[in-house]
Amino acid sequence: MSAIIGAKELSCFYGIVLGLYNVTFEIEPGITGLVGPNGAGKSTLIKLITGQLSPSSGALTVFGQSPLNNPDLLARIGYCPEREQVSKELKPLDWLRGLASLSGIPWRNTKSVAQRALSRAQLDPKHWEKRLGTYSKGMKQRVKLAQAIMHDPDLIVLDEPMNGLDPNGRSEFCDILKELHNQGKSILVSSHILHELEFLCSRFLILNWGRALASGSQSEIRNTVTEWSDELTIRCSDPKNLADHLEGQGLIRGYLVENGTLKLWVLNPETFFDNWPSFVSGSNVEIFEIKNSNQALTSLFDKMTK
Amino acid sequence: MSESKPQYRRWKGKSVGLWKRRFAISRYGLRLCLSGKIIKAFLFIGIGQALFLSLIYVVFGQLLTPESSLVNWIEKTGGERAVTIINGVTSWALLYPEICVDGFYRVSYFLMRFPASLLSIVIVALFIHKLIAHDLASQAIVIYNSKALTRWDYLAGKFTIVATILSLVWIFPILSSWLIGNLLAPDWAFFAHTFPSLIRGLVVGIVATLSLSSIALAVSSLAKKTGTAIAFWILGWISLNLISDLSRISYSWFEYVNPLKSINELSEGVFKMDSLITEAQNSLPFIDRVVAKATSLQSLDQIPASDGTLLAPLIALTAMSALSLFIVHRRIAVS
Repeated sequence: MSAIIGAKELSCFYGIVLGLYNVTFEIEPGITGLVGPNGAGKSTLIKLITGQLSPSSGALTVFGQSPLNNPDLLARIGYCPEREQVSKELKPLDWLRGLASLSGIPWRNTKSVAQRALSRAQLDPKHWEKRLGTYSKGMKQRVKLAQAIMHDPDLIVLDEPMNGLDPNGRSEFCDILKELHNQGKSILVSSHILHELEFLCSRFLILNWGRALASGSQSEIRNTVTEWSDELTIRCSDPKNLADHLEGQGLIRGYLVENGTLKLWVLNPETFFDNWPSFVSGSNVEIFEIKNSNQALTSLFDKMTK
Repeated sequence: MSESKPQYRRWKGKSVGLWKRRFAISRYGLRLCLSGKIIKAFLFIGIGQALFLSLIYVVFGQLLTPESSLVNWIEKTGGERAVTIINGVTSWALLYPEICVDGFYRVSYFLMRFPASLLSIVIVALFIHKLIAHDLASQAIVIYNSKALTRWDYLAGKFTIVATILSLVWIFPILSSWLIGNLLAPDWAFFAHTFPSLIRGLVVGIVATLSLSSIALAVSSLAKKTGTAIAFWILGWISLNLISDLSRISYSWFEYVNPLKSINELSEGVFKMDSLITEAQNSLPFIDRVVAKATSLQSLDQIPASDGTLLAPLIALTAMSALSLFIVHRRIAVS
């Protein structure tokens, strides 16, 4: 599969402040999660992709072209920014019509296009006549999504789109993104809500301190991490005995017995989860509960960024 | 949630070209800027200037037409004295059209800069916050920057908004009054006689429109809140006026810090009113006495010649415009 976004030795500085440093990666079509702590360079990368910043060195291509000063390419990109970048005095339809005309949609068609986009973003029509300044954060997020998708872009870039949405809203937002993906759109989404990204994205790009730590699917990234282990919490009749039994088989990296529960770090999670009944059966320990304490993306993220 | 959920359909229609997209910024911005009643009222004053000038030119043209109904009316109501004056004016116009006809247009266009300057300051103050400051304050500029237009396109679109509105004050009155005045003039030769004045008026009008537009954009882009844009604009003019007044006691180039003074000086250099008066004095001796009386001077020889030069104000206005556009470009760049 050919990459839609490619970066080669890409660096971007704000004066002497580092934004991105010597980053090389490729993003393939699909839904890709952009993960990293604050200051990792996510927003810098998004601004580079949407043509708002020029690289200090290296190269960035989107659909094989540089996005800087490239209106033809920018017409294929939809961008939903993180902050509340909406014109407060305007009504959503007026604002979207203006933006639609900037995207090349003839004025006479802008109203219907804007209405469809607002409906698609699931903003209730009863709010369409209110000014954007009176909207809640979640409603503004929907309007921002509508402006990002209304010109039928091939790539949709979303910066923290789940901010301000309630759980139902997040779920609906994820559904919309999945539907867009099913229509053939590629989506790059950054978020701090990792478990939702895990649910939504097939691939990830992990950034930290302006560097790309890893990219690919979760299992591909996990394979790049040496000494990876999943953390399990087991409530059983004899934690110490069970720990010794598993350690004797070379299955765990370490363990901790705390308040009658056993916390252990598994060396090869996939093998362990496939065969755990046979691994524990010889210990004669009664198992009450097994819990995987770490959510995969969260622990992977923690592992890579700490 | 939404009761009506039409299926999202991808835009399959024909897209408009880059120029139409650029034009969309201006059209959309103009609608926003002209949405207030007060600004419409002030713009009507600007358009009223054009009507007033047109009316004066039409009356002037009719006065030079012996059989016109206006002359007939004056003859009936004013008697022989009025007929003599009109005949005199007509004779002078026929003998010296370059002074009487062109000179009349030249004086009126020269004087027009005073109301135009004042109107420009007031009108821009009424919509300056809706230019770039509005986009910066709402941070909507980030979204505009991501659309299928370059930063220069955005800047050109905003520039067109201000330039269009200011041209209604500076250029429209000149063009429309010249056209109406000449179309209703007694002779097609009026077009030829008044053409130099039109060019002079347009030069000053275009330079003023372009430079004031650039400065307005820069001021708008410097404000992070919409309210401060208006304050910056008004306080800016007061400060620049004070600084330029310092030129009397300090460096002479301080005068050019105030763009309106540069426009004034440019206007003096372009219209060359002193040479017009000198020509009039040489050709029409009675003008000497009239002007001397009006200025309480003994003779026109004592009227100081205009020191209006073209180069210095042009350099000052160009430098100020270039600096303004540089500031705007930097401000709209995402950092």
